Amino acid sequence: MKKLNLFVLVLLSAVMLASCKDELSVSPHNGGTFEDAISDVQGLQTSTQGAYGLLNTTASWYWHSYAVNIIFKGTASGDNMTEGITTEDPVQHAFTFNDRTASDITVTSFWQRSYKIIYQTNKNIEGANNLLSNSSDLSAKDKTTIKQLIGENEFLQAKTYFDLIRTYGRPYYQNPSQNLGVPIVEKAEVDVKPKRATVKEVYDKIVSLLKDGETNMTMDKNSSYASKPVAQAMLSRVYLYMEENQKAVDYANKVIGNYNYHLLSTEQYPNMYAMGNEGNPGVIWSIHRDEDQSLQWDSYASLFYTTPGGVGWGQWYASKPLIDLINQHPNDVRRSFIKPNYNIDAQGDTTGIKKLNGVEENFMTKFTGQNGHGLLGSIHYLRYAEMFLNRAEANAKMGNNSEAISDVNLIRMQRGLQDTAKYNAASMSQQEVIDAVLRERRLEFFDEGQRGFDIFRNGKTLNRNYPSQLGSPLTIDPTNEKVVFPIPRQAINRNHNLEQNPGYGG
Amino acid sequence: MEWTNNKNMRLKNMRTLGTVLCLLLVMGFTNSVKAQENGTTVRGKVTDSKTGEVLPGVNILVKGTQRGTTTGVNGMYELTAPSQNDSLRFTFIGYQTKVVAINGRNTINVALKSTTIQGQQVVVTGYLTQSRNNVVSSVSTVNSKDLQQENTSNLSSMLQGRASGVYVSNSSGQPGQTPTVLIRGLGSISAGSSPLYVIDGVIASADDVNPNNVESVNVLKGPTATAIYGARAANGVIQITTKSGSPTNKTNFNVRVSSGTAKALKGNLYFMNGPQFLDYYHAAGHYAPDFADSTHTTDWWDLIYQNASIQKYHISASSGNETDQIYVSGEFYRNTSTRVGDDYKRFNARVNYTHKFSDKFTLDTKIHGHFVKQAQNATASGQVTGAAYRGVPWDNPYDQNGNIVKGVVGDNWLTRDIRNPLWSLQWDYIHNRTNHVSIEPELTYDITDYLTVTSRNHYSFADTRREEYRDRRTSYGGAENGALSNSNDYSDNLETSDLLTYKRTIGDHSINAVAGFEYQENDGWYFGAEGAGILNFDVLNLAATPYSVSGSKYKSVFVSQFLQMNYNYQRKYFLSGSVRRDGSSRFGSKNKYSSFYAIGGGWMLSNESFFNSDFIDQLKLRIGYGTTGNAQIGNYAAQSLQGYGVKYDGTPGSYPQVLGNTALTWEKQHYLQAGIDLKMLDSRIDITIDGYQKKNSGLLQSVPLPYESGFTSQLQNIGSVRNRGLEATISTTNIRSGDFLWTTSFNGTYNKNEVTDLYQENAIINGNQIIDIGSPMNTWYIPKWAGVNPQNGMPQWEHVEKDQNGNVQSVTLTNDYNKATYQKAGSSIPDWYGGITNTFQYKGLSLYLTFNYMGGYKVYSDIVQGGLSDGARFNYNQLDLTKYPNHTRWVNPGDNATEPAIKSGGNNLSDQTSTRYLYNGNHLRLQELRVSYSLPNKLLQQFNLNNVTIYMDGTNLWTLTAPDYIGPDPEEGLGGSEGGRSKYPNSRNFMFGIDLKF
Repeated sequence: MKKLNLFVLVLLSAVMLASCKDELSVSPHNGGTFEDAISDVQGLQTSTQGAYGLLNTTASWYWHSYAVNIIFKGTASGDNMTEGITTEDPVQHAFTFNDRTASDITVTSFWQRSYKIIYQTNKNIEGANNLLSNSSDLSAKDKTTIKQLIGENEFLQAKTYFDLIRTYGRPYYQNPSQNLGVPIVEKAEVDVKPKRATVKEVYDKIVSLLKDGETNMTMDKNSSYASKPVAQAMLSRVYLYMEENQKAVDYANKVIGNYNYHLLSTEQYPNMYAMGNEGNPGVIWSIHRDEDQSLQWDSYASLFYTTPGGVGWGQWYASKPLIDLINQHPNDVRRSFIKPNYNIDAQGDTTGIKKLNGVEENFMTKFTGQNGHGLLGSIHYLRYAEMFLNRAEANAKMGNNSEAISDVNLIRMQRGLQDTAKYNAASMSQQEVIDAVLRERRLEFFDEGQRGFDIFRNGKTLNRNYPSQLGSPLTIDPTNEKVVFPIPRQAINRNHNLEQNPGYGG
Repeated sequence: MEWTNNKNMRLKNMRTLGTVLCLLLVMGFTNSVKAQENGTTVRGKVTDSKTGEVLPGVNILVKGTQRGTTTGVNGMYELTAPSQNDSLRFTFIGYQTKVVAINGRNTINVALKSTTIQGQQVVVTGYLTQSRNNVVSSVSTVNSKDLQQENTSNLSSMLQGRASGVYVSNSSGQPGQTPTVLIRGLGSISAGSSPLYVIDGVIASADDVNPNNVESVNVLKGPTATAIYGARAANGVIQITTKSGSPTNKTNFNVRVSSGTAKALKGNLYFMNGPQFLDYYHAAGHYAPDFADSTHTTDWWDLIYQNASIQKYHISASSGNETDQIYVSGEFYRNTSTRVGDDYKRFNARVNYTHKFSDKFTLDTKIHGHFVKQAQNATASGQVTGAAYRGVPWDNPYDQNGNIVKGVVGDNWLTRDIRNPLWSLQWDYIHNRTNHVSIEPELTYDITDYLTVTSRNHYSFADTRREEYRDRRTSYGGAENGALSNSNDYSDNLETSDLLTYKRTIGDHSINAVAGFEYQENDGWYFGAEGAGILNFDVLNLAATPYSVSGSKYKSVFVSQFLQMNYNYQRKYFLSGSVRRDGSSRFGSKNKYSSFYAIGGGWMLSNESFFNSDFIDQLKLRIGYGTTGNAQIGNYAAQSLQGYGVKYDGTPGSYPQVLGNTALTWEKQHYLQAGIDLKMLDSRIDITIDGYQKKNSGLLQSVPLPYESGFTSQLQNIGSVRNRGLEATISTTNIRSGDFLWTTSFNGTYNKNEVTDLYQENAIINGNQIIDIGSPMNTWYIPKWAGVNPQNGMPQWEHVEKDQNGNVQSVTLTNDYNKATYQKAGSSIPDWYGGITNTFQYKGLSLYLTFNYMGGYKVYSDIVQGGLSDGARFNYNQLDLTKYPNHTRWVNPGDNATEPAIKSGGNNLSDQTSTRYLYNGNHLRLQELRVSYSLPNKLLQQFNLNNVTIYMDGTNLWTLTAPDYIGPDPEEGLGGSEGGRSKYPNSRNFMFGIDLKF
């Protein structure tokens, strides 16, 4: 009996002692550690790929996700869009202006994702600099690659700040050294509670990042990635927003004619999205999307288009003024992106355009058709055509009427208009020239997220007076509080150093 | 170490007790010697009238005197009465008191009749079993007669209102869903709040057991009972014991067949019909679209929710002799589900087998499994359930020829975001199949009479297969030209507990102790694939394009050592204690291990010799204190993670996904509780009262970080929450006369929850709720609705101005939603809840009636928010205000109305989130009414049957809600919100059946 007792006790103790601490170490299967991530060039490459990926990852409704949110804000705050039906989705608030609240998810997720990208790019840049200074056995090729990747991260960060500042900060021409912009985060640190920098400080940061990027990037990349011309094209747009007109012209000139970009022909133009972005000479930089990224009911294009197969909400349309403007010239190949939804009678004849709640259903079909998929399209963020129109606008503001009109006419001809549609600079005042340039910009970039910003940064008033379920008639002048979006309530809750924009307090 | 000190203390106490004992014995002997000189000596044996077992510790008193004695271990007694005409009074807890006249006899053997009202004499607490009377901690027992609800196969649902301190909330009526269970208040912010389920000594999950196989359920609440489960016990423990065979050489069969219906409950929701909806349009200056038939009304609720049919077939057999006992059962449960397109089938099987190899060596094996097949409609369930709440009356799912239409906006269809659910129901489906099998071999070896070694082992695996098909003709399948997805979720669980148990009674001392070691490992593995471009087939090979592939794995390990002890002296003084050391793979590298302990004491006052009350049978005082932990967090929560799940341009990318915390550790709970057990009037009244205070600290909080840091949150041990409460359980036998019996059982709990500390004392705002010091968990934090301005019909909210110290300076009304101040508006977790069950029996007829109630909480209705939109929504159905007498619509200046004027596009954001849609959740519910009739024995004997009972069981028959409440049902789980259009309503059920025992 005693022996058995002893044996059992020994057995039990052995078993108990066998509880090694090692048993309790488990590692997750779906990732790695921070330390291992950027320990070599390949890791830096993968982490930079991740930064691009963060632009695209989906939210529950894709139009809440980062990539399309900014496109939608730019389109919705302009006068190119109308609503056939209202929705409970807060994405609508960008269109209606007065309904915006600081708790809208579109406002919150945009801010949150922007700062995640800024953190990631900071980490990548710091990691890359570590590699450069600590690794003694880097080949020349590796060094070039690392510098290229630094530049790409700088571009991504600059673009992120740019989209942030145009959303939450007032237009540049309105007192930029005093108006509050967004916080600038210089390093990848977790312990931060920054205040909002001024609009000017943010723009200066954007310019400095892009200039660094311009120098660092020396490799050739396709338009899914950043490269030197991408930084230059972005600077052209940023300087335009800052009213630094000569610099806007200079940077447009750096791009025009110096790389393999071409304005698309009239045959190619309607396929601008169907052909994707890689191998598309008219695109400088695009947020590339693939088949597994939303080609359904939650895609951005589905708001404005129902495919012949019946997929897509297709409840928001091109506005009447846009239709009237673009129909002035039936040869305008840009009309291919407006598809009226016709009534087809029993014989198969069209008997007019369908209406939803009294609004004519004129679908807008940008961002569709890539690789044959109805609602898939990469997001062309910087197009070659914009260089000409940036140059034209900057020139027009500097009083260089003939240079400005020459670029406008070039675009018009390229888009299939006839000679008779050319403007004559000699007979136009400076104001008329500026208006012509802005009109052309409206025709060229409708539904691409520029119109609303273009109106307000030029000190113009938004005037809507056309059929729409909501949001019209509406007048918003450029000093209106609602021209900018509210700082997300959630962001202020977490960082009390942030100040809310006027008109959104409470 | 603590254990050594206790041991020394106990040894010292034992010596002291021993001395006192000797003294008492001597005194007793002297007394009896004296007594022999005059009076009658009586001796005898006291036994249990049913089992014949001897009863030690029975109190015997010579009536009218102070003379008495108690029976010894062998049930024998001896005393001297003054006269042979005296009477002896025998009392013992759990038995009916008996008075016997001596009548000149010298030997009087007595058999006492047991009166167990609260059932089990033996209670499992942790790794030890003990007699009910010896329990020092707070334990509620639920017996199998309270687990007979026929409409469900889920054990947790049946616990609602049956045990004090236990809150059960059914927020979804979908068959197979486990309800929310909370014991004594919410003690955590982000870690799980479910109690620990232990089934036959093995840590398992709530739905692993068939209620018809359950012998008893013990809810362990106090620290002394739960601390033995250490790091997983902070939320309480539900310990379940299943049936086993009996060694009586007789085979018993039980066949039970029930069938019935369920009807989805709409509560007090009333929606507009066609003409009313047209009036609504006109009120906002709109005209109905040309295609709409404004006279038509589709009853969406009727289309989506139909009467379900429920069946339950149960068969079990139990048999055995001295060396082998077996219990076998099989059960089939089917609920066709009230929601259209859903179906649920479940099959349970169990074999519990015990074999004694020898007197000392026993093998106890349990093999059981459950197999579920479930179908549901594939369109995101919000589409189908949502149609019942949002569907516009003019939308007709059928065309004039009776064919089902596609129903999309723009195609003669108005309801926004909800396409015609009947269209996709023709082809789309989701099929789930789950197999769950457990094997539990347990070996017990008695080294000596009092020393036993046990090895309890458990291996189980669960496999869920899911198949979803979306046809190309439907909106959700159209984009991929038909899509089929398959996924498989596999997990297994390995557990071993190796115990050394010591159980000994030496004289008046009884010790029951166990030392043990436990190891638990849980592994999981998931993968899924989806293919696009498929016709109406159900294998992925036939999909034209592989569309997406996903997978994941996880692992979690617990390693523990523990010691538990129960001690009593003369069944009068009780002492219990436990110590446990747990290590888990979930915690940060610096803090993987922690220790938990508890100590409790009890005093059976009524067993004291000075205690002499005619009507109090038992009075026991209990107190306990201990520490436990909560480990219900993610398996890798402490670790930083560079995620690789993102890609761009077909190439994988990485990004910092999770910010880790190497110091992450257990949530600790410090628990103090005290209680009184009182049994009176021959156990006709049984009262238990408990008071407790639980302090949970180091709560795992997802501390929100500023967005500018690149992360949204980090898990830290911050913050603390306190729960204080009072529970009472009262059971009474009101009438027991002849063939009529009426008993009542009531339990009630009051729990006050308060957050006592947070990270940097900053409140955390989670959606519409706030966690703030001084307020309870899950407090609503939304703008406060202030009615309608009578002059202009515009909405109003409160705008509060505070000075720097936070004191309110002014409260004004504003009609600008952006200026409405967010304010606290009550919690979504009830402060008080309980139940009352009445049982009436007359001969073979019995009536069983249970009510339960909950109160002190608020629920938010997204459904009403969408349906009372004042013109903001033209494409959702709206509430019919004529059915709500307390709600009126503003029409003209000067109207004092409750709802703002209807305006096209909405009235100044009047339908935004505010207390306008927040209601009192207080309610009283008729939970169960069961009427049964057992055929008389004479009839049964002819057919060799032991028992035939026919019954009718109705559940969720009637609910009384607060006057302001609008919605389907105020039971909404801890979050207090229905989740709007995806709310699956609860149902009212009627079941009929027959139970045969032979």
